[in-house]
Amino acid sequence: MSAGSIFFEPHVSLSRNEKFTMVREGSLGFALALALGFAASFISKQVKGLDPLVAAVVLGMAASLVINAREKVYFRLLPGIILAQSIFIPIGIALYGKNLEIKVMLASSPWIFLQVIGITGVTFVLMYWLGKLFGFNERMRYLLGFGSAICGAAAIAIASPVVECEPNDTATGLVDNTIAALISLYLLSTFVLPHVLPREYAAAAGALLHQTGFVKMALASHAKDLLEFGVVVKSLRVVLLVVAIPTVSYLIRKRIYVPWYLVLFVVVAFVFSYIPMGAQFSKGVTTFYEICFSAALASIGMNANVLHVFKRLFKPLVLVMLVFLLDLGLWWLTRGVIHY
Amino acid sequence: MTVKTVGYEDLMTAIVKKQISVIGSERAILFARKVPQIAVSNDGTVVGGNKAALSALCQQYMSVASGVAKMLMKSAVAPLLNGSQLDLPDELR
Repeated sequence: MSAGSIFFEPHVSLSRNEKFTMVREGSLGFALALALGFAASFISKQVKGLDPLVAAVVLGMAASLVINAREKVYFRLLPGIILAQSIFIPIGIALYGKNLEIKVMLASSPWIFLQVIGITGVTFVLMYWLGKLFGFNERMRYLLGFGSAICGAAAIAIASPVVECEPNDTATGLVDNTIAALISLYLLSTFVLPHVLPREYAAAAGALLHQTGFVKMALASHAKDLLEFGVVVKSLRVVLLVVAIPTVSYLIRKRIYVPWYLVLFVVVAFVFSYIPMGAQFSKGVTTFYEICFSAALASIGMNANVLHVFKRLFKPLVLVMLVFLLDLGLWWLTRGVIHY
Repeated sequence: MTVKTVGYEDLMTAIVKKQISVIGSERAILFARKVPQIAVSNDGTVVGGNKAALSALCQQYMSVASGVAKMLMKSAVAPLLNGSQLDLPDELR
């Protein structure tokens, strides 16, 4: 096994004509995915609390109603959908590292990190085991695990090329993850908040809620330092991608594979944490990353059959919520030993 | 220790499973089942067939998106071809 095979997929040689054909065939679908990515980024800035990645999936799925209505249209756009995912997902993942504040995370209590690691690990195990009882295939179980254990829409997008789920399953996972985040936010704020200290609530939100946007919503009416604390706890889950991706990749593909863009993800995290960047440059990188990732998620939505997805939402949602409740139980049991 | 020899069935299975992850099982298996010499299960496993069947399978997927389909199929079989002496059809060279 060469070092290259650890970080890169096996090399595929294509002739110049083949490459030109791919670009020509893919331009329309690619442009549409990019346009939807821009639109999602714009809309999310207009609607408070709306995650651009969620907006992108919704827009992509709305477009898929037209795309999937006729096979000819679908296969005309499919090359661009694939191109968009293969280009934007690695870029999005690499730049996603910008969101990790390494310095702040390293300053966190190691007990909090241990708790997060424990809950993340248990989430994957529960999702895999209970998902088997629910009748889901292995890849879907891993995908839902990423969505619940790590970071929602972004984690599902990051895991999708590794797990290689069917497009409808990926879209189902994304939609269910958002619905679960909404329900979980309600449960936490109604049944947990009245019984815990504010800092404990922030820790619960960061450790358990499925999407960063919902963590921020949960803590929006609290003090700024609590919001920051909750986001840091959430970031501790995100950083576990560097373990989760190679582990799941090995379980599925039976070979060690650490995608090169995951390495870049870590590099970007350190660069933005330790090297002072101008505010304009930093904002520009954020916008670029947001559009790339939104375009990737829009292309995932475009490739889904909306009716198929909505018919199959309920069972995975029940599984995700069941795992959330068990995670909440674990968090509740362990919160007493941690000084938040 | 017995090393399993990669055959045309393995290549076709890898291609169909790759296509399932891209275009969904319904479409991917529909195309695969148009190839007469092979049997395709619902999870994409292919039984039977030879070089001609592999070529026909490739042609099925390339009929709708030739460039990207070729790339996907080549990437699907690339991990299996290390050290293999299989005679590949033109579509995968």
